[in-house]
Amino acid sequence: MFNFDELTKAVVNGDSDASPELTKKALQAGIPATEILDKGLLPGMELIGKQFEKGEAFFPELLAAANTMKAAVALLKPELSKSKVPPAGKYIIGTVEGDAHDIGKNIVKMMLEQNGWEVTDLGTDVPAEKFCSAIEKGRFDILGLSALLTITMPAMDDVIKALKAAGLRNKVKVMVGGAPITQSFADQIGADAYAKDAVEAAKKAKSLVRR
Amino acid sequence: MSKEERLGKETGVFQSHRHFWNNSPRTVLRTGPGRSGADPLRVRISDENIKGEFTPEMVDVEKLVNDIARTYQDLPLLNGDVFQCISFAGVVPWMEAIIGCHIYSLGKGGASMVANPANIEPSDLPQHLRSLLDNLNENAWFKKLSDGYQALAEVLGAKFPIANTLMRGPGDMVGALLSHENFVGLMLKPAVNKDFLNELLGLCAKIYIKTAKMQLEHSKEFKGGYCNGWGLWAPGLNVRHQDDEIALLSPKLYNEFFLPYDIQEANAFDYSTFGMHSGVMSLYNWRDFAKKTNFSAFEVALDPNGPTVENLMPTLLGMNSKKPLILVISNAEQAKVVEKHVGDFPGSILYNEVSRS
Repeated sequence: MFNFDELTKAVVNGDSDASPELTKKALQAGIPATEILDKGLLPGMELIGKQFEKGEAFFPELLAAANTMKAAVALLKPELSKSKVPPAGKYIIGTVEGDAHDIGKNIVKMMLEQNGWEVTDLGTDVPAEKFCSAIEKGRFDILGLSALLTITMPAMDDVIKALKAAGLRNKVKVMVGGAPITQSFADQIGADAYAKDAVEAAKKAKSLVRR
Repeated sequence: MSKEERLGKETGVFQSHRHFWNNSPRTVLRTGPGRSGADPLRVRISDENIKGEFTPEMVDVEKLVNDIARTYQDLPLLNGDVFQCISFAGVVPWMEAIIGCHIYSLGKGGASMVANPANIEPSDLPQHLRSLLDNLNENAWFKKLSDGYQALAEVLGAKFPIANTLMRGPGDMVGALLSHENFVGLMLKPAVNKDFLNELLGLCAKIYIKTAKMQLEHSKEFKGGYCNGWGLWAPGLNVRHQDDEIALLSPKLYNEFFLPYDIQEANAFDYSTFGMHSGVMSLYNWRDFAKKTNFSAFEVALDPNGPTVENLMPTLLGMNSKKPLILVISNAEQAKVVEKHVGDFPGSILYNEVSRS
């Protein structure tokens, strides 16, 4: 019988040798890819996320776990695509105009992807019109806006206003985050959610699409 | 205020700054209003919407120094309990620029610049940095900064103290060269990459120290000492250091990769302040930092999205029991809490004035 706990532990420990090895074993044992994902890999990401929130794990451990998970998911991909498992949701993300910081955005993207989201990344210094145009053309559940500078925070408000003006506000939920951002700022500009870090972003994204 | 009264006040300020560096109990200093918004280069970038690749030729030293002189001409020497001090073009990420990163200006609204990784093969980076270190005076960005400091000292040095520009340390420099995620990814495999990363960090630390000392050499001594960017005077070489990359490390990786170079930097100057953020995980290292380095003071930027000031108080008090502490307050709410606890700090603190609106 396959031991899912070992696979979970491999993800938590960022063990990039053990995780693909155990995933291969599970596939060879005939365990469906979705079960390997749900019982072995995702609980590992959840656990490391909890440790991160408590300050017991740091960014390098989070990154190592995500890379480990990525290597294992690559092995599951052929099976997953056969079973047509839908993504957790579609997320579009970018750093607002005037701000070219991308590390926070990239960490959020990484966490979302490892939690089953299909993520479209518009990059940094993204004008409001570009967000609107992408949302008009595509189908996304959530728009994530990132800013690191106090002076670029107002650009988040500009994006939300532009979405309203283009009649697109109801098409997508808006989540905001970044060093100067707070819940009260998110409320003030009418965002649907605020996340203080990447782990919280993945959690809140899940709850936003459940509503 | 008469000349005698002003002189008396200034003498008192020197004394209070000495108390600050000694972490004398209950020394509380407050700055006056911040002047970062008055940086003429930042203003020009915003007004003229200068967007895209930013090169050293785009910094006109003479014009910029004249603009700085105009901005400061009517200001008094003191700004609250600290000196009004001047630095050159803090909006430019100088250290990343000097080591070869591409500097990108964000133009109107952003009025900021970012450093993108250099177009250099990682395996060629050690040789690139070695050669740069040997020929630092030939580097276009270094020369521009050097010219800027000479001109600044000539025009304003007699009136105001001159401080180092905003400088990011070796961790941020290597992170910018390699891209931050790659840097952390490489650190996660120390068996393969430790020597390579240590060589890059060591070379960047040397470039950093040389660049900081160059600025101090050009700046005229001010009453037998120097001021840092906070306007805090000290009777010796005085710099402010910042390495935001720490937020991407763990205590283990910090001790393995960053600490040796923090020790080198602290030893290179008589007085040094280490800037950290509260909103990202960068305060974890303060105990090791206080114990193992000669840094003179901590600075903590109280990020609005970080833990509340109330929740941070035990950490801040612990830090202050070891070193003087500068608190960078972001909003009126934080200011209220800091003021409520001001008597609890065991050592010396400095904090900034924020708008109460």
